[in-house]
Amino acid sequence: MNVLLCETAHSQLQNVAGLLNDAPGVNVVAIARTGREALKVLNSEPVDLSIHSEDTVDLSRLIRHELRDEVAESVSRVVATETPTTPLIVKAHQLGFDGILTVPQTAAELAAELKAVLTRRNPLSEHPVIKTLDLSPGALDRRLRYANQTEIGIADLMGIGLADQDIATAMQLSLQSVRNHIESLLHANSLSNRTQLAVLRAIDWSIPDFA
Amino acid sequence: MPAPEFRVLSELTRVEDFIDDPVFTDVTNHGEVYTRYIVTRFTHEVSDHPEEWTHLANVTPERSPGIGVAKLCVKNRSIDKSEVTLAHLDD
Repeated sequence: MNVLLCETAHSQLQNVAGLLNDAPGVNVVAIARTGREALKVLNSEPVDLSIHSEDTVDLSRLIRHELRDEVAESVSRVVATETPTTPLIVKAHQLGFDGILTVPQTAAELAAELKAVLTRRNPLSEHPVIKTLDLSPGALDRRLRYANQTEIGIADLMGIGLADQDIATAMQLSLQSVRNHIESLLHANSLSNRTQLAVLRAIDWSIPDFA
Repeated sequence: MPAPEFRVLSELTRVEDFIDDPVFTDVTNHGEVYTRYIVTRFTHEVSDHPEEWTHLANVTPERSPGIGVAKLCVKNRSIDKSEVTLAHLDD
């Protein structure tokens, strides 16, 4: 199993790297501290799984969108954390992560958990909170599709927090028209609510560095 | 405040007599869920309603089978506000 670690200077995945180096069947390909480093490794080295520190979770989405499709589909992702809180689990699920890794553990335990992620034996969707909320996995791990410039404009204004009436005023459209466009966007992008659409538009920017 | 008055509209009236676009989106669940409907017929005109409803109409969901009744507030030939009560085929 080839593993990429993604962390910032503030996160503490060094101990994970040390454990993984001792774990049977696990090869740490690289430790990336910027988005560009991660992209370079993912595009050039065989990687089965990327392990992310908590503070790189949001940005991992951007990395995936910069990858070739076949690479993005083939790399599993987990978040490494000492305290797997419910908000982190839900966020990871919505961003399309494949699991949460609780650290520290022994090298053998880490390796076994990572293997379980690769074989999908511990999907995040089985978590009780996820099941209760009935959330679709990876809802925020997608790029929005638009039918026309009007939809782009409406999504832009939603992404900066404007209400429907304000969007109608800004774009000189009727409220009915704005809402029809929003419904079209939700339907075309398989989203279930307005907030998901606004958040997706707000985070739809080019890859910055982690640090 | 005067009591609201309801006037039954003739079956000969057409949707385009009242609004430019028969398709509207009803927003529910505290502004989060958007559902598209098509107005099939305006049935009543309402005046002096305290909640500013101006019409009652038959509606059908655009993306699923069903029949509904909508309270509508129509302004400038556009639906400004709506509240839909729906019956689905599998109810």
